Amino acid sequence: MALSPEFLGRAYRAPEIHTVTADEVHAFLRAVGEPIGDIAPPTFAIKLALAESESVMKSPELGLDWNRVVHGDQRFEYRRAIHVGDVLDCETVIEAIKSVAGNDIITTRCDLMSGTELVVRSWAVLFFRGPEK
Amino acid sequence: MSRLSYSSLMVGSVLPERTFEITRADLKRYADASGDQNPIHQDEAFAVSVGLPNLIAHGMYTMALAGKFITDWAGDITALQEFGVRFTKPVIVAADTPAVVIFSGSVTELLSNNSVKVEIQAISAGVKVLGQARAIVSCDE
Repeated sequence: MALSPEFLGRAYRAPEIHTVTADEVHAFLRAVGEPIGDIAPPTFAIKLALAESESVMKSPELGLDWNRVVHGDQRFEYRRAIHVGDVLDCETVIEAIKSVAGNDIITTRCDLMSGTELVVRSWAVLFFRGPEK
Repeated sequence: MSRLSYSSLMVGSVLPERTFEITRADLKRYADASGDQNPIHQDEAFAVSVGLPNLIAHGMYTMALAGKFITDWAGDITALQEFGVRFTKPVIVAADTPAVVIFSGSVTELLSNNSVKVEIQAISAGVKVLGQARAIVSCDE
């Protein structure tokens, strides 16, 4: 069933503020083959952004099946790099909803904020495959 | 870290081609680091059951390697102002041999404030796995 356009523009704030730990930055650096340091690589922001998108999409009011999602596009705008010790708040906005051939195509924007400072803004285009015919 | 010099660049300047290998152990490490534990990236039987040819890499892992390709060239892990990709085809990762992704790219525009726009290509098994893969990169003067 197509997602109702009434969700367009809806904003969600992550229930918890996230403190970036040395362990998670180091694990991410190691996973992408970077030397260990206290600055996160550019795509680290996805760890926070996608987790938050997942919880919004799976929320009872949207009720989308995260097991049927395909990541279509991803884009980031950086004001600065994320560091160990950053305390980040995540706000997710549903920026676009389309339904094509039984698939929901949803664009989410995620703003990672340190207090009132925008650190990284990102957009994900998510395809939710409709049921097999 | 010392960044690439803006004055040394022009439209058409090339990011030297690099090859990255991806093993299933890399995907497990990335899954744990990113929190993306979707079984299509770790469980071949599951991946095949949902219609995929084999286990596939996380698109975001390929994007992370693309990011490393660009920031290594730029000389600074914090050099990106913008970075975007489209996931056009999956990177297929077999059990016994690593998948290979070949990155190449070039400068497509000189911008103000010592920054440049680059566009990159990512090819695995002869197939383009990223589309519209572009970044804005900060340089030194």
